[in-house]
This record gives sequence, structure tokens and C-alpha cells, in this order.
Amino acid sequence: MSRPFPYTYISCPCADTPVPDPARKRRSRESPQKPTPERNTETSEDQGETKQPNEKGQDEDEDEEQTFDPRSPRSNFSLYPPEQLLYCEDCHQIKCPRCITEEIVSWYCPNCLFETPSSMVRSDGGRCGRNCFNCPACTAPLAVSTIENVTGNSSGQGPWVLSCSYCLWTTLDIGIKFDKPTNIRSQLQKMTDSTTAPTFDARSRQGSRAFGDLKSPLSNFASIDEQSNAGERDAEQSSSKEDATPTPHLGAEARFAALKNFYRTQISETSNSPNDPLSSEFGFSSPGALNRLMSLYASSSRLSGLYGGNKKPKSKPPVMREALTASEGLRIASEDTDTALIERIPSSDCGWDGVASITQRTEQSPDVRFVDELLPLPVLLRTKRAKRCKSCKHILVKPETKPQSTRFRIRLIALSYIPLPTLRPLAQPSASSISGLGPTPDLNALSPLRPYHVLLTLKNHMFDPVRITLATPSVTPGSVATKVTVLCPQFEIGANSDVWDEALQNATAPLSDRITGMRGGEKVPEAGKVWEKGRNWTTVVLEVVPGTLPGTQAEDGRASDIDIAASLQKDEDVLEIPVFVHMEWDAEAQLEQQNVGKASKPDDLVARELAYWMVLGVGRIQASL
Amino acid sequence: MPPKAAKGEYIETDTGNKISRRSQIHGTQHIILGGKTVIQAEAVIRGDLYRLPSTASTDPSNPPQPSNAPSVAITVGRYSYISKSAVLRPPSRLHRGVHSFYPLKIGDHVFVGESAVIEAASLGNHVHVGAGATVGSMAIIKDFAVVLDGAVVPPGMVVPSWCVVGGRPARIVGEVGEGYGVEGAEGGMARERYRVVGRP
Amino acid sequence: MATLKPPPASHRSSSSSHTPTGPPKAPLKVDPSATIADTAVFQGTYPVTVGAGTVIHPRARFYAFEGPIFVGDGCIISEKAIIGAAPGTSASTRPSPSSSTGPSPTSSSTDVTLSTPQIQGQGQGQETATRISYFVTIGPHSTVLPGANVHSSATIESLVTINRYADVGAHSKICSGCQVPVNGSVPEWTVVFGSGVGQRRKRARIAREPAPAVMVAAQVAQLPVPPPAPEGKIIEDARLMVLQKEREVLGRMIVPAGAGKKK
Repeated sequence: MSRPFPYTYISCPCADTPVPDPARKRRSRESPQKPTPERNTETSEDQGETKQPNEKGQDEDEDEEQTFDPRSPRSNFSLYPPEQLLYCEDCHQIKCPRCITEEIVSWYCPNCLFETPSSMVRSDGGRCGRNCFNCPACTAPLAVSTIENVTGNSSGQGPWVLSCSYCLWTTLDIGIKFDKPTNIRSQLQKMTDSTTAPTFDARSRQGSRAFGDLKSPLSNFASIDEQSNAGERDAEQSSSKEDATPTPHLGAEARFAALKNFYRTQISETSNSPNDPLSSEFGFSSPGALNRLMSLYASSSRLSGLYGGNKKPKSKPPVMREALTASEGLRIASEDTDTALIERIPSSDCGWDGVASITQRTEQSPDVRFVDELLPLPVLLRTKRAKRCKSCKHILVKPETKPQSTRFRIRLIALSYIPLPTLRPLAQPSASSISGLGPTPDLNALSPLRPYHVLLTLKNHMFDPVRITLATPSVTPGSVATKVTVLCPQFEIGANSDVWDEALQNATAPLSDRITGMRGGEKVPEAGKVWEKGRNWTTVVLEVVPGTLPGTQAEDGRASDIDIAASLQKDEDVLEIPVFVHMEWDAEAQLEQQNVGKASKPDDLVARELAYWMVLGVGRIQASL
Repeated sequence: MPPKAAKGEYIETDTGNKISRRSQIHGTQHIILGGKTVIQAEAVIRGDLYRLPSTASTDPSNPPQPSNAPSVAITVGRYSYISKSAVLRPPSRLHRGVHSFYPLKIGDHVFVGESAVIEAASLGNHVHVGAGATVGSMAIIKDFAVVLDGAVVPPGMVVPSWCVVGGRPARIVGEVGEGYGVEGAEGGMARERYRVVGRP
Repeated sequence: MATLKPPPASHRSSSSSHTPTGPPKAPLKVDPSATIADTAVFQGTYPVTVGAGTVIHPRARFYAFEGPIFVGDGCIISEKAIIGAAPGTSASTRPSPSSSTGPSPTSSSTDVTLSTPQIQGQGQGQETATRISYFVTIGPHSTVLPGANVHSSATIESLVTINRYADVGAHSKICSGCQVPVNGSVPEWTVVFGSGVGQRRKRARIAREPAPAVMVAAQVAQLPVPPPAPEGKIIEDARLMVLQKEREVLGRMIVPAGAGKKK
């Protein structure tokens, strides 16, 4: 989501230390750089030399001293809107979605908002097992509606269909109706389930995709195979092949199930340790499979004495065979099907609109080629997830389990710790008296070389007052050099004393403050002075002089607008200011004790500091003057 | 953000609702605003499409008078913001042979973007509906959900909390951060939005 | 919690009439059973014809400057829908100045003004008729530009643009936010959805065979193939019936224009 101007992003420091590193824990305490005026000028000089973002990556070791470049390719991975960031109280560091791990708290269907027990998730295929379906044509949710209810008088009468109220697809498009309005999933399952032949028990047919309890048609033979010699086995196979000839070609799911079963039996048959329960339970990647492979080598080599020396190596290692019959899942592609497909596509009843699109087909079984083969898709489940710090494993976010609840048991968001930055343009630059500008400048068309004043408000959500030092490069990185000056780089923000105070004051105090600030036209941004100050927020002024876009001439600006736009890289004209924020505060030791558990004297104030980069998206610079 | 309007563009009610004089509100007696709600110019709010009493078989020439207990067509919570040219229209459907309108409930701190068309059954608290989006009939948008600009939420869709939906038809494309809705941050700008409305 | 106060009377024009200085009021020819909201706007020099049972929501706008507008029976034209184009700027969103100094009877003057467009039409050259056929629904914020032809039982959802001379087939649906290009044509029983010009999809009209997956399953299970499902058309019949009910309800609820309602 791109955001409208003005916006603020905060850089997660994890981009500088890609590997989770316990040493990083200390970083917030020994803040890496002290932003001083000297440094400020230094970086700006650096910046003048290294304009290309590509060069940035080369001097990794100097990274700490570098100005943060919002256009650097790496910045994509570290810049986040403030509300997406978390804060680890243990590491004392900002945590972005890249430096946390997630674990699933609960599964729920986004359509019916019912929780699915985790035991059911697997058997339901991670999809809603109730009546929630997505339209196979357009993905909109499908509604269960009755056909016979046209007159409206006899509600509760079937038959029923699933219908999409967006693209008007219904299951009648694929010639399906349902006898009752509940348990659509299992009704549909029954209709399309070709996994079981009628000779097998009905239990497995009901179980939706529970492949585990399906029995292979060859499972009987498998046990015989074990004892039978090779000649007998061949006979068995040929007989089974004959049995299978009347079997029609299976559906994709059924074939998958048959193949899976077939290979599972093959593994268990050919395994040297058939008693191993793992081999049958978990298939190929299980320790059983590994065991089988190992014993294959072991039996044929002299190492056999070392591995399981007590076991006698078999004279002939059993060899897995491939699926041979249709009931085992084998399907031989026939030429006719392809020809039929090709003939059908240009036919008048199909055409372009009759062929399923790639996006439609990705959700369907691989055999589906045409829109009248699309089956409704049970809604994919979503999850509520808890989040942990990757380095210290402390839990940062834990939502309540219930799908409908929006509350959290634990929610350590960065906004509770770092000041919330908000940006807004100051009405009219006092210096300029050019007519034609509105009371507030149009941020989508900033004129180059004209000074703008931007108000940066930092709002403190901690219960301790914070000392802030801001630093910006005097010229922004990138090919458009914009001059930036923070008129008051050092200031304090008051403590967030009380929630109720805030609620009461919010409506009145800032309003009156700002009105005086605005109406009193004499209020001029002054260097070294805070623009405005509230109970837990402070506003300072940034003076911004947008640079000219490359190739812009003051005179011919109009004529070559298009050329300039073409020559510019995408969003090169967006004015983004990197700001280094260094905050210091005295945390109460009690708080510290609770969270860290380290012994520290009560009543003691522990000095804390935190430093990070943020990026202010001020606006877009016009090509012409 | 609201355009700078001429002074007096907004009428402020006792409960602090700021309603543009150029808004197009119908059936005001069936609309409840929770206070501090902003309705911008040319926004159409169809309070006249309220749920008729089930026994009402009145002749078409004489619409039933909402004399004693006017049924509510649209409720809007506090600090919600209805942008320019948005259309709020109660959803309707046929149920047991009777076609009737159902109330449209809009929660607190909701933002409805410019030219958006809302026919939802409910928009929860802190819901953001982008400009030019359509929320179809009987859709339910839960708290802290975001409908991106130009999205078309199909009729009857449910958007869970914290989810971001976009596209046509809308599908879940992401989730907002845990800090969404914190006062002053994204999703929590409603007070600030309200404050600047109608200021000279 | 407070019930909203009604907006000032000056913003609820009691009729869609105009001042002499305002844009010309289109001559209306309305079937008595049609319901036209008082805040619907009819402008232009050509006649606007509205068929029986049609419901026109408040704030719908008709601009008959380039040719007559025909709206058939049983249509629903929603809020802020624009049929036709305002003169000059086609995307004029400003409603007509609604100072109701002289509320003139709306459609009683039909006979008088009917001759006017013909003269106007000759002056402007070719006239471009906009046709909306029977049982058409047009959603909020949608625009049907002059020369477009929307066939019967079509659905135009919200924020749709039907460009000039476009043709929307019967029983078709243009989903929200889609456009039909200039001279574009949407066949009948087609759904246009997605973004921009969108994707298209043919609706089922006749009974279809069950999907292959079902056939295979039945074959494997050696069960009879499920009996054929009803024709897809039945869904459309149901939809139109619901539409009929909706129109009936709306006809009772919408505050009609004083003169437009001839009971």
C-alpha cells in the first residue's frame, strides 16, 4: 500500500544486522552513533560523493556512519509504517515483521468466522468444512440459495445451489445442485469423490480427504507378496492388472490418493524393517525411508557388519516397482484427449470465454481446462498468530483465540515506546509571498528551490519524558538534492501521564494551540525553538528546500516535462527525508525489574536510549519551477 | 483529507456532528449519528430506505408515517467520516417473500472515502473504506479492516478484523499491523480528521 | 446520540425545476406508475421518457442535451447515476442549482415542449438517443453516456461507465467499477467483471451437464449420474422477481416528485 503524502516510515535496525545476533541486544544501550553537528556535516559530504545507492552496499563496514538512504534497495526491507512495528522490552529494540517469528494461535474461516480446531485443519485441507465457498470464476464468496424459492412463499425448500452474487456464477453452471442447504462441503465431496470404489467401506468416503484411512486396493497383495516368490508375484500382478481394466480413469484427487497409497505400500514392502511403524505412517521423508535407503547400501557393502550386524543381510534387496495399473494411480495419456481439447477450444460453444484462465486453474485440479469444469472452492482458513522476538524468544503479540475478538493478551507495539511521528505542511511559508499557492502547499507538486516549512510532531506514549535529538543530512540522498534543516534538533517530549487527560485534552488543547499558531500570522519558525508543545507531544519545524529534478532548467521547464519524467527513475521525484532519531529517557527501575528480571536497585532511574532512522515522505517535486 | 471549504460549509449539531450544507441526506428521521461525525458535500445518505413494519401493506400512494417509533435505517458511530460524494444505502434483500431494507450500521472512527458506495450490513469500528470502493449489499466489514481504494467487496462478503481487502472482486490481500488504530497512527486519525473539518 | 436535523429547505428542492437562468429542464414523459424521486435531476433539450414501474432514486441525473433518453419499464436508476452527458464537460458533478422559485409542473408540460427538441436537434445536427430497455438496474455513481444502448434485464452496478455508443446485451451484468468502451459491445448473458475493461464470463442459460469431476466420481462409485440440474435461466428468473419486489417496495418509500407522481 503506498500512502498519500505526507507519510512517515520507521526503519527497523535489523536491516543493518541481517543475522539475528545476541550482540544486537546491547545496541540500544550503547547507541551506535551520537548525532552531532559534525557528523551531520560529515554525512552530508559523504552523501555528495556517494549519490548512487548501489555504492552504498560496497562499504558495509562504514554502514553505521552512513546516512540512511530511503532509496537504497535495502531500505525496502527495513522501512515500515510505524503501526506495523513491534518493540521487544527485553532486547530494547524495535522489531519489524522480519525480526519476529510467528506461531499460530487459532485457525478460522474468514467467511463464517468460526474457529476450526487445529485437529481438524489437516483433514479439512486447511479449508472451511462448512458451507463457505469461493466462486471458482471470480473468487467472491458464494451464497447458498434455493432455486424453488422463486415465489418466496415456500422457504426451506430445495434444491439448493451455490451462487456468486458478483459474477453470477452458480453451481448450475457446472450442473450441480444440492439437496439440503447444510453440509455443502460434504455433499460436494460425495459428488466429486472418486477416491473409493463401491466395494470399500463407506466410512472412508465420508471422511473428507482423509487419505490416511484409505486402504490401497493392493494392500491385500502386499502381504502376500512378502511371502511369495518372484514368479508368483508376477502372476499376482497380471491378475491385478486384469482386475483393474474395468476401472475407469480416476479423478485427480483419487489418483493422487491411489499413488500415495501405492508407494506407501511399496515402501513398507521393500523396507528391511517392515515393523517400523514410521514407514507406513509418514511416507517418504520419514526416518523409515532413510532407514530403508541406508540398509540398501549397507546390505550390499561390507559395511553391513557395522550397521545392524546382528541382522542378516538379505540375499536380494527388495526393489520398489512403479505403479502399473489404473487403480494404482497410473494413467496413460492418450492422444485423443489432447486432440479433443484442441478441437474443443475453438468450437463455438467454448471459445475464449469457455477456457478457464490461468488464475482459475491454479486453484483447481490439474485436469481442469474449461470453465464448466470449475468446482467451487472451500474457503481457505486464516490464522491468528502470536509473534515472538526472534533473538530473545519473548512473546511480543498474542491475540485472543476467538476469531471475532480484536483484543490482545499481549501487544507490545513500537508506538507504545517510540514517539509517533506525524508530519504536516505549515500553511504558508512566511518568507514567500508568491500568489497562486493555496493556504497549504500541494504536496503532490512541490516547487523546486522554494522553501517549505514542514511540521514534525512527535508524540510520546511512554510514561516517562523523553529527550529527543534529531539529525538529518543537510542534503537528501539521491539525485535530487533537497536541502533540509531541522530548526530545533534537540527537544523534550513530556510524559504520557494519563489516558483520561489525553482524552479530555485532545479535543480542546491542541486545537486552540494550533489556531493561535495559525491565526497569529506573526508566528515565524525560529531556529532553536520548538514550534509547539503539548502535554506529551512536541512539534518542530523542518525547513525544506526541494532540489531541482535533473535536467530541469528554470526557463524551459514546461516544454521538457515529459522528457524529464522519462529520464527520471520511478519515484525519483518523491521527496523523502531520512531523519535519525535518538531518544533518551530515564526508565524506572521497577519496570526494568519486571521485564528483565535483572537485579537493580529500586527507586533507581535507569537511563535508556534508543536510536533509529525514520523517513519522512514530504511530497513529490514538480518538474518545472 | 478534506478540502478547504468556505466558512460555514458545515453545520455543527449539538453532539458535534459536522454536516456539510451540500450533503444530500434523505430520511433524516431514520438516521442516527453518534456525534462528531463528518458528512461531506454531496454525500448521499439514504435514511428513507428504512425497514417497513412487517405488517405494513399500505397502498403505494401513502407511505407509512414513522410517527411513534421511527425505525432506524442508518446508524453512524462517533468520529466517523463520510467523504465527498459517498453513497450510504441500507442493504435490502428478499426474505420469506418480503423484500425489505435492513439497517446499515457504521461504527466509530470509520472512514468512507470519496465516491465510495456502501450497501453493507455493517462496518465495524476503525474501518477504512478507500475512495471509489464499493461495499456490496449485506457485506460485513469487521473492526479494523481496510478496504483499499477502488475495491469491490462483493455482496455478502465478510471481511475479518485486521484484514486488508482489495481488488475486484475484493479478496484478502494482507493484514494491517498490530498498531493499526492507535490514536494518531494509521487507522487512528479520526479525531484529527474531525478536528480539521470546517476550520478556516 | 441525536437524530439528525433535516437540512435546510433550500437544499431539498421540492421539484426538479430550474430557474430561467439555469440549464434547461428536459421535457419529461413519465408513465404514471413510475416513481421518480423529487431530487432526481432532468436537464436538457430533448425529451426523457420513463416507462411503467420504473424507479428513479434521488440524485439521479438525466442530461438530454445530445439526444432523447428512453428508459423502459421496470428499471431502477440509483443515486447519482448519470444518464447522458452534461453539456461541455461530460464529467460535471455539480447538480443543478436548485432554487425553487417557480415550481413548474413537471410532466404536464410535456406536450408543449415536445416540439422543442426537434428544432434543437436540427440545430445540433445528429441527435444521439440513449436507450435503457426493460428491467434494467443502474447502480449508484454509474454513468451511461449518450448513444449507449442497454438492453433488457441488464444490470449495471455502481461506479460503472457505459461509454458512448456502447451496447450492453440483455441479461448481462457490468460489475462495479468496470467500463464498457466507446462503441463497445457486451453480448447478452455475459458478465463483465474485474478491473478496467475486465474479464468476461458467459452465464449459464440452459441446463448443463454435471462437471466432469462429478461424472467421474459417479462412474467410479458406480452410482447413477446425478439427475440434471435445472436450467441456469431459473436463477435469472429469480433475480428478476426479486427486482420486481424491490421496485414495489421502493415505489412506496421514495418521496416522489410532486408533479412527477400522477396518481
